[in-house]
Amino acid sequence: MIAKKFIFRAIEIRLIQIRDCKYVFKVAKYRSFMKKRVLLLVVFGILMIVYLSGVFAETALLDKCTYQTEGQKCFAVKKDSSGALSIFEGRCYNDNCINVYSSTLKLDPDYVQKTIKERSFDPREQGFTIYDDYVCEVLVEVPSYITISSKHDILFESVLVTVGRNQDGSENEAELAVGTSRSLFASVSGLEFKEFRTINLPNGEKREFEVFDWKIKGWPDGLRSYDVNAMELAIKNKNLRCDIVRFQVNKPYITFFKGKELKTNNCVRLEGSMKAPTTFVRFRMTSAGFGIPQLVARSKESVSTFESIEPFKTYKSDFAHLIDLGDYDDSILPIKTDRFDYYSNYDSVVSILSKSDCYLKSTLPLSVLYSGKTSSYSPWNAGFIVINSKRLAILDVHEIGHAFCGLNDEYECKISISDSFRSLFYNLVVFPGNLMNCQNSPDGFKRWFGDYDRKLEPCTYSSLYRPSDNSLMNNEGVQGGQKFNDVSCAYCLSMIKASERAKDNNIKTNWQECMKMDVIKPS
Amino acid sequence: MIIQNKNIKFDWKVLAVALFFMFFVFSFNGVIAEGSESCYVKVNINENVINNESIGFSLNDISNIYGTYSGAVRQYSEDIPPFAILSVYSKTNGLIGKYDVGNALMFIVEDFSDSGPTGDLIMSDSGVASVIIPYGNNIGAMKVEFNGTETDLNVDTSKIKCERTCKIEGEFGSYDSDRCCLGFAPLQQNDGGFVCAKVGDGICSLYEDYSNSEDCYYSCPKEFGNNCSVTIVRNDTTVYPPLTNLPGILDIIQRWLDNEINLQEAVVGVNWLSM
Repeated sequence: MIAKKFIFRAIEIRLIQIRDCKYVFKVAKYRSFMKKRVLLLVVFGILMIVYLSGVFAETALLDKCTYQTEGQKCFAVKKDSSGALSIFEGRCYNDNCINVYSSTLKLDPDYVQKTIKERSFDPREQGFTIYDDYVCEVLVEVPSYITISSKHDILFESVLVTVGRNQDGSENEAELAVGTSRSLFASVSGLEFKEFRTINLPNGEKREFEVFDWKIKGWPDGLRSYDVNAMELAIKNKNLRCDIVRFQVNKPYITFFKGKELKTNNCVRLEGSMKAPTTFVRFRMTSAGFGIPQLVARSKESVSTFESIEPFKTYKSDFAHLIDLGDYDDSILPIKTDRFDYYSNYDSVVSILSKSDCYLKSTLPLSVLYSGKTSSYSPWNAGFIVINSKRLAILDVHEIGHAFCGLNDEYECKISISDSFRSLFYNLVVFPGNLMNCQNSPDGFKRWFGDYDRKLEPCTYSSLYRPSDNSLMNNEGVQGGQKFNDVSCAYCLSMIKASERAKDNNIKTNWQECMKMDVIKPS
Repeated sequence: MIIQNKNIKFDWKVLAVALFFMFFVFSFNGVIAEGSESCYVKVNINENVINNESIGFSLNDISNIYGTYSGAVRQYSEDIPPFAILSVYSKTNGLIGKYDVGNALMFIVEDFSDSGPTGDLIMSDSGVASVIIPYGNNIGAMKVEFNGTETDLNVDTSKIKCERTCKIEGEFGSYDSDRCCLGFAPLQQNDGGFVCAKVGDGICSLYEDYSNSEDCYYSCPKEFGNNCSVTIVRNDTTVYPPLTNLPGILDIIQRWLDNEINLQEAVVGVNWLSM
């Protein structure tokens, strides 16, 4: 051990000697050189000196860092976890010689466990988004005079950025979060010493580094959600990076070390297992005028409303809820303008949605589109519904009642069908009994839904009957009641259990189950 | 005092037998576990109004899909009459199953206000309905039943195949077009793509390292703070001496075992000891 210390001390002294003698030796050499040459060569000699001095300055390793030597190469002696000394090469950073080996973004392990427990999925499988909690893990070598107890006093300044690439290859950085290792601001946390870690380097060398962690909050409001523009850039760039920087007064910060770029995606899983049979994905069309925070807030409201209504409340684990943070340009979608406005070409809607990151992460989603230029509507069997962005979240559940449960409106609709179709429509679609919660006879309900007197008209059509006076499929329900009636609940439950229908799922037992839930029951 | 025994041995023979057994069971009774990823067939059916008198059905396309589609399978039920019924027959013409075919011709547009709801029920003259059915290697024909008439979709059943489309352990993918199967996490690679690996299972596999997986480094259990050591016990009964206070322990173990034997097979147990 004594011999080892002696060797290191000898190396240290030798390096210092080399640094001190270097310029003296070189200057002497060139002075002698000039004496032997004509005047013409003086200029050349000076140029050579300047050139060679520059080379030396570049290769010289400083043993002491000051404000003036910021960013220059340096060396220092470090002490590893076993107490052994070794020399490392670094760069001057904030008056210390520091070697930053890597800066890597990872999901915060506490966030991973919390998400598995509270939101029913493993965020490591979902991929990274700007709505996750991260740890920026920085591996460094620091001088031995910085003891473990004082490591929190090293002033590391860090930023979380998203990086855009210009056509000329240059980069545009937008700042998403700021951290410092010293509490400059009470609200800003920064890099803190965590542990020693030995790493296998690519060249086969094994080296021990000190690990500093910076915890960055993303969930539940998103990274730096108050900076809307930076968040939009992160959506566009689909990446994050944690850099070590030096802040300057009234000037942009200087990047000292660029971290490893993390690829992100725009599909935020609010909650629900990746194995959930049904997945809803909420989108914003450009016309909705939603920024990312509004989209997320509206989606959360939609989910909480959905989960407050039976039978979805009881079976909420059968559903997963995703948000696509992207901005979908609906100016290219043709609009049919009539008594109501709607996207007239389904294929083009499905086409632009198919590019969604969420479509890769959910097998057959039902998409909820927030639009500012259409009415709310539900195409049957199209895989999406459209909600006017100014409407309340309860309307989302009403439209889901159409699209997921197959329910019909329990008020009278205008039938926009040409006269030539009308006969076909009534004969083939209405009267065979496809209208579920609407029946063409009051007794139609009695087969499955108890012996109750249900003589309420209309139900989509003037000649059809609805199960209850008010419900979520009627205006009153949307405005205030916010419950399905027993019949609608039974059909929704049948859809939740659709893949089990051949076994023990039938409409009567589902109705009996719904009668025990908080639904509008027959009087 | 031995506090915790973390067994990370991986027995491939046991796994192979278990997988074979599972495959055997599934292939014979056709059961698809709820929520698991399996093969399905997506059938897109054209619906067209014919001469304002009837509705015609024809095959738009058929595709093999893989994932958690069990909730999307709408099995036919007499008490919830669908718009039309898709009957799937075996190669010997036996009925395999019946599934709902939705109405792709209609939609509801509506608005709610204080003055009451207004809505239009709109019907178009053509649409495409999607039906998801479980994969079967014996599917011989598909027919749509509507208003008492059955229409053969003339499906080329030779195109129906069961192919896994997601990536599993060690398989590479592109962020733009691929995904990892359930239970695997995408680990970013230097080329901009990803490789799938099980993360959080305590095994530092080939593509995991300190920068992307907690499986590749071990810290002292929290209850010990920084004061613990570890003893490695290998299945050849070799006992490595205790290591003192070294949080990057798995890297160190790996370093020892480099050029000797794969870590996953070699290490029987990691015993944490209090100091």
